[in-house]
Amino acid sequence: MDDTGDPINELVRLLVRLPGVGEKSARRIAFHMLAAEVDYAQALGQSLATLSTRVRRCASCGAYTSRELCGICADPRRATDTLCVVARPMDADAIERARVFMGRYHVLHALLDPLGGVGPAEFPLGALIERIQREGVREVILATPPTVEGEATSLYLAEALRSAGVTTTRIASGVPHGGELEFVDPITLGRALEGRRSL
Amino acid sequence: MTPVRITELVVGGFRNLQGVRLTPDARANVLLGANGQGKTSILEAIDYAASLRSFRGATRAQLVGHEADAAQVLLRVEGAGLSHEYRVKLTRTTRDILLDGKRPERAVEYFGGAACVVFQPGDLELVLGGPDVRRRLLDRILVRVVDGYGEALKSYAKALRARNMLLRERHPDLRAVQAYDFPLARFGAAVVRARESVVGELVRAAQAALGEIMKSSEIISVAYRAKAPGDQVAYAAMLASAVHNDLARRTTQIGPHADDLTLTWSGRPARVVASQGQTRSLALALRLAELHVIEGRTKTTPALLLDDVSSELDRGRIERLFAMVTRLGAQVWVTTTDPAIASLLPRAKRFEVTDGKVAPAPPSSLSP
Repeated sequence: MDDTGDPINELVRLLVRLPGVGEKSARRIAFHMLAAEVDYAQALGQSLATLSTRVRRCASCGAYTSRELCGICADPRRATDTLCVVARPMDADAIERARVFMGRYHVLHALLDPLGGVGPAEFPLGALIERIQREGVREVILATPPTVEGEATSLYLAEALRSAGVTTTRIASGVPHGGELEFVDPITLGRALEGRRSL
Repeated sequence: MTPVRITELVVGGFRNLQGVRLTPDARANVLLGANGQGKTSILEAIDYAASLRSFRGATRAQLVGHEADAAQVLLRVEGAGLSHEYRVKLTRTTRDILLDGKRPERAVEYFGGAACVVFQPGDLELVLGGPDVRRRLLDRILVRVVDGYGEALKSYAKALRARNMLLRERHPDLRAVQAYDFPLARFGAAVVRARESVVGELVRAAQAALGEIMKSSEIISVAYRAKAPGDQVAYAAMLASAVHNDLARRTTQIGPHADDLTLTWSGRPARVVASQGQTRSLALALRLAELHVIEGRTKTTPALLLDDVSSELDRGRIERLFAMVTRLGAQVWVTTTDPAIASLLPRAKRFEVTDGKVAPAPPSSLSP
């Protein structure tokens, strides 16, 4: 009946697949695009269309970059003997924003998750071990998330790296800064107590 | 003790129910109607909104009515002077839950205020059925009384499924299998500890209920025998020492997923020795114990949903049950085909259920 509705519906269907975007927000964005200046929608479209050709994975660590090596791997001031292993590029980004880590990252782009199709055969262990040997890494910090898959991955890696002659450490987990203990969930509190240290 | 009082119920598209909107009585409500009209579905909708599980074991797809796109249940619940709105929307594949119009951040927020206890004919399985039925009884109680239990149980189940999947491979990777020992021990030990902490209260309450309603002096005992310890380190050690057994059987043998809550009746397994009447009494006693434990730990008295009690209990027991519920101050919902049962609750609000619709029914002429 209304043939102008189809491109809008198509856009809405694509937008609702974005994280945190529901049907209502998707419609709002679609109508906003139509009402906005043509330049804006075209610039956005262009940016999305060329994203996959302009952005690639860093040849060394796997983080997103527009060059062969990402800014961190290309920076000679970053220590090569400490490697922080994360699941996703955004995890490396989060640690980077804290400005407390001066080593380099290794992005797995996966967690050990047999139910999700990543068993030991699919898990990218080889690239990590090769990099550790090539770059003479002495300490590997396991910064996978404190979920069932993240914990299993860190244990799997710790065991696998035992023979690689490196020290492996796991990031601590516990009570957030500025938080009241009474609002912390019992699982996190349990972990915080287990991970206590003497002062 | 603050009783959980449902003050408004709106249901649409859930099983055969359409446009149900009712304002229940604070104390007692009777749903009357022939079989197959939707009485049990109303109790199921209430309990689903409160516990996010079907007591008939139905999947989401089964709960959404044949001609509906989505099922919606809205419960308004009053307790401790506060009123909360629980809203669940189900499609065949998705579920949205809202507490006072907002998505709850943690399950415990949602489960905090709207506890229900259901007694229904299928509960004979508590005595006669497999260990999974009795584990579900414990889990139903514990998600309401132990903060973090639901999350621990979910994480445990996830780690267990992953480990078992790895064990079933043609050439299991031992390193990957054992990577799951740590999350399994952490969450499994938490589940075991919580279950062990509640069994004592459960058995005392069941014994008391048996005496009060069934006038029975039989000694029952309920024991939770955990094969894995509640200490995480000991648990992990046990998993490590049993790994060759797990590899041989291609599944994780030990853990709270394999535990049972054993019931004995005068010293012998209840499943074997209890008569049909005793089986029913024991099942009801366990449900009343569920109510009692939740009440004791949360200081709120769950609403009691009784499905078709006249098929399960004789008149004397029903009278004593109703008297006990009245004494506790719990809001009670009763479904029955029999107006004579309704007359045992003379002050109850009555509703007539016909073909998925609900209408107020006049007070029974049988009431004194």
